[in-house]
Amino acid sequence: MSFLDNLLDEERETSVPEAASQEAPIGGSILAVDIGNVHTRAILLDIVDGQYRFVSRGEAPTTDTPPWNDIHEGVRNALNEISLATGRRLLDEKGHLISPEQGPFVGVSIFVATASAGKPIKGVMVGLVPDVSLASGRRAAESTYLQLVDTFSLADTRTPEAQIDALLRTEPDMVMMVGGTDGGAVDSMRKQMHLIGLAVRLIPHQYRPVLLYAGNRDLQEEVKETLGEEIGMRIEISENVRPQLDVERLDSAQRELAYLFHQQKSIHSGGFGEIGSWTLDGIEPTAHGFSKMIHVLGALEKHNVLGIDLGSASTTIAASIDQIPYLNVFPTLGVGHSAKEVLDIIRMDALGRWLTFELQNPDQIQNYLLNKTLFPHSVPAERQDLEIEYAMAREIIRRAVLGARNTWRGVRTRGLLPAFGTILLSGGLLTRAPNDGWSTLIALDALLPVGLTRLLLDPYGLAPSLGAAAAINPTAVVQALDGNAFIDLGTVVSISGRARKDEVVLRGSLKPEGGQTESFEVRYGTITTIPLAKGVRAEMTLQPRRTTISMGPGERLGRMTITGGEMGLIVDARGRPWRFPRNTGDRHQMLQEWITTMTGEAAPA
Amino acid sequence: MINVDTALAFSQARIVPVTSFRRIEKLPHGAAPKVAMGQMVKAMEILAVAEIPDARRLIDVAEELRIKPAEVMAAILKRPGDVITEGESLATRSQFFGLRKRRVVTPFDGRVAWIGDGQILLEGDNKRVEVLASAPGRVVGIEPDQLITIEVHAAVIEVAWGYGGLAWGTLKLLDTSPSYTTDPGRFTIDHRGAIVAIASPLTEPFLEEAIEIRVKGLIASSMNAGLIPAIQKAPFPVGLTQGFGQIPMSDRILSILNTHNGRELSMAMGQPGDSRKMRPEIIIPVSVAPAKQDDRSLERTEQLTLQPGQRVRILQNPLLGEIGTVTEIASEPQQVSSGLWLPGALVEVGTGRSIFVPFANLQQLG
Repeated sequence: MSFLDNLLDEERETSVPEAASQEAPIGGSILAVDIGNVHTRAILLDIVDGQYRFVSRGEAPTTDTPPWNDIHEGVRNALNEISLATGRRLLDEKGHLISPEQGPFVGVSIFVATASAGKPIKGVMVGLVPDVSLASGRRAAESTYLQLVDTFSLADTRTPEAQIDALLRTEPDMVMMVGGTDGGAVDSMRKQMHLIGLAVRLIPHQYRPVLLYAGNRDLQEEVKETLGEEIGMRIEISENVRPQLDVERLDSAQRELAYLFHQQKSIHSGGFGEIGSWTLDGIEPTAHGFSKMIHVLGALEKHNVLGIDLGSASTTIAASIDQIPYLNVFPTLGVGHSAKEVLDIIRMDALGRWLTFELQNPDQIQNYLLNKTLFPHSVPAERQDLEIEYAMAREIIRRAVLGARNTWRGVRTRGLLPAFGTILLSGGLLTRAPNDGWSTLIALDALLPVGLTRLLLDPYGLAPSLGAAAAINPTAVVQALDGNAFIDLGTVVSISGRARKDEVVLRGSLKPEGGQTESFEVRYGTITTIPLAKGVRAEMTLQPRRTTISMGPGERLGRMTITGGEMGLIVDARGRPWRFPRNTGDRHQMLQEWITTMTGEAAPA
Repeated sequence: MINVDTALAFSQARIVPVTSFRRIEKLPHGAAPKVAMGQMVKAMEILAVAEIPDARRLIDVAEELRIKPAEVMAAILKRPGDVITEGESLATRSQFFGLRKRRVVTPFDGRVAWIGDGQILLEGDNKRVEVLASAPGRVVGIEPDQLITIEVHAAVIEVAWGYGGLAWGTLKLLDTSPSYTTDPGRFTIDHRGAIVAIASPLTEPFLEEAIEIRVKGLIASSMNAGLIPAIQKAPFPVGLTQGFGQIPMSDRILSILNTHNGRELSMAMGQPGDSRKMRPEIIIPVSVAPAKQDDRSLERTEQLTLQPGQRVRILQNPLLGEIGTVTEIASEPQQVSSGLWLPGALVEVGTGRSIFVPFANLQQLG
């Protein structure tokens, strides 16, 4: 039974996530487009033999940069690929989408679009207390491509002039105002409102930022009056992110931020207005679509799911923990456009420790990453450059997950990762590796998962589009998942605890359905793959040879049922956490052994 | 067979011996144009000027005059928008039957931005910002507060990286062939005030010599990233034709520079940013318009497919920055040294050598 069979079985007895089931599904064909910083991807879902199927996909370079400066061209090219493959006309002679459907091979019923292309929205946060309302505001802001460039609080030690200067210098697209509990005191909020008003008065009307108010409900009307009517700011109101001291409510602010993302992009980026006009609700941030997909998987699988979308400009971490969705976007952590920023954030030795070779030049890593920023769509043509990119990928994921963990309720912010039953990997660098072994190894190195984990790969970047479509027609998405949208890499068993290197720490047996039982031994410090064909279920028994060995906190070794994937069964017995050898030669040898095990690639000559 | 529609260019750049194109100069907030439509402008000519306030001061008049906020309006002598000069009275209050006056004075030249709640907000100490023409040409578009467009006839080299803004000067090319090594001891007094170009990687000793001799700008093939802090302190712009690393200059670019050696050119380097901004360019004006307009001058927006015969720049090691010609679109994805399997094209570089390059690593040249 495959992963998708599991999903479909589960789907019959479980409800889809709340967000996706609020409205009755709309039927007919669904065209979904995701406009990334490098690629624009399109997928077509339609009903075949009474079931939704993933019919076709198209991909083209994104065209939001010079000389095009308009996303429309990239979208047109991606849709043309679908038209060529299916014979379905999607655009009219003027280049507009044909919708609703006008016959079996003309147009589509529903169009959804997500986007991450372009620079993030530049915002400042104004609030009262750094650890309370501002912390909640920041968590809400992390749900979209918003770069917070300054924060103003009551604890700010700058003079009012310095704060006004700072706000003007940053030239924000958006001011997000938070603070105060509903029904609480308003004087301090008025003071902050006054500060915003003073600064914004000095900005010419056409450049004034939008204000998102997500603070004390009692001040909503006053904010509209003072900052909106008197000063001329465009005001958007959401529910208070901190209605009570011990209550945090981010959904409403996150929705408004997504709306503002679309609005800002429509104003400042070519083609967004037009493509947005083809949709029902505007262009959604890619991260929101991705998060919805993770939430759908969490609801169907009934276990915790983690999603990593490693992009060129940004990285998205989406999680479904105890069926609660979490979303964190890191707008300056990316492997292409943001590679230069990575150099400012991540230490060089942290990147260098993942390489299996001596640097030819002390600046080799910086040179490569700066060139990557200049030409973010380029791909490594040489092995050393590939290793530098994969080092960057590991460190970005580690850092992003650490940041995201701060927002996961009931989860320790440091130490081992909580157990995730499924991890979905998305983003070109992760999914278009030379082979699945590289993708698996990067994910395991970066995340150090514990327990039993299913690794899925999103090779066509479908997750955001499917997530966005799920909000309109969840059934279509669940049914379409059966069409091999994701690659099942296999099940990972991660071993925690300490032992001597190469000591046998586990003995196990694997009995595939209808097959022979095979025994195996696992040595500490190694990562091993055991063949188990994709979709084949097997009974696995693991017996520890040491009391210090486990599968992580609360995870028991013993008998369990697992399913095979492209990599079969992966037993990661490198320990949790593991340390790099101090000796450079030993480190290179250790890394190369793991690479060879997982990818079959020998050390370069 | 790969459908040629899938061989789309990810990026395009301008490296042409002669072309006509439109150069867009972005204006800061409040900039007033100083040129008219159709006017011919010289390089470095002022196109627009903006006076941007550099300081703000929030004065609590009620507190200064020791009166209630409600009484402030009666004491204030100015209105919002009024121009003020340093030391001028903003508000006064008489005490002791007019025998003593308390005054609030302006700290700088500027204007009154706002009055209310017993406070007065001033802005001033204006900084003059000039927008200069990066190349000689004709003004063909003015959008006040937004941009000015100039039509230019020139040879153009879009460089991989640049820093340090704009420079205009005479090109002094020091090399006749590309090289991996750079000799710093080649400067003479003739290079003072010139834009110096080398076909090899920039080194710290060479940069120091260039600063010492006071060149106007420096063009090199490449440099190590570690040199960036020194470049940021250099008093002139620097451009790299290939990128970061130790890479010699492409023959094609060297040939264009060689053709124009001794002529005036513009280095429009801007500040470093990501590829979503305009790329830095070397612009070498020519006196007459090319017989055939270059496609780029038409502000084209369609995404072109890569086809045999097209010139391309390679964007990854080991031939980063090399310029070649597409000879064939490969019918199947091929494996490159990194292990990746990718669709791509055969590209002829140097002396008739053809190599496979993934589409993602090709930049279409116009």
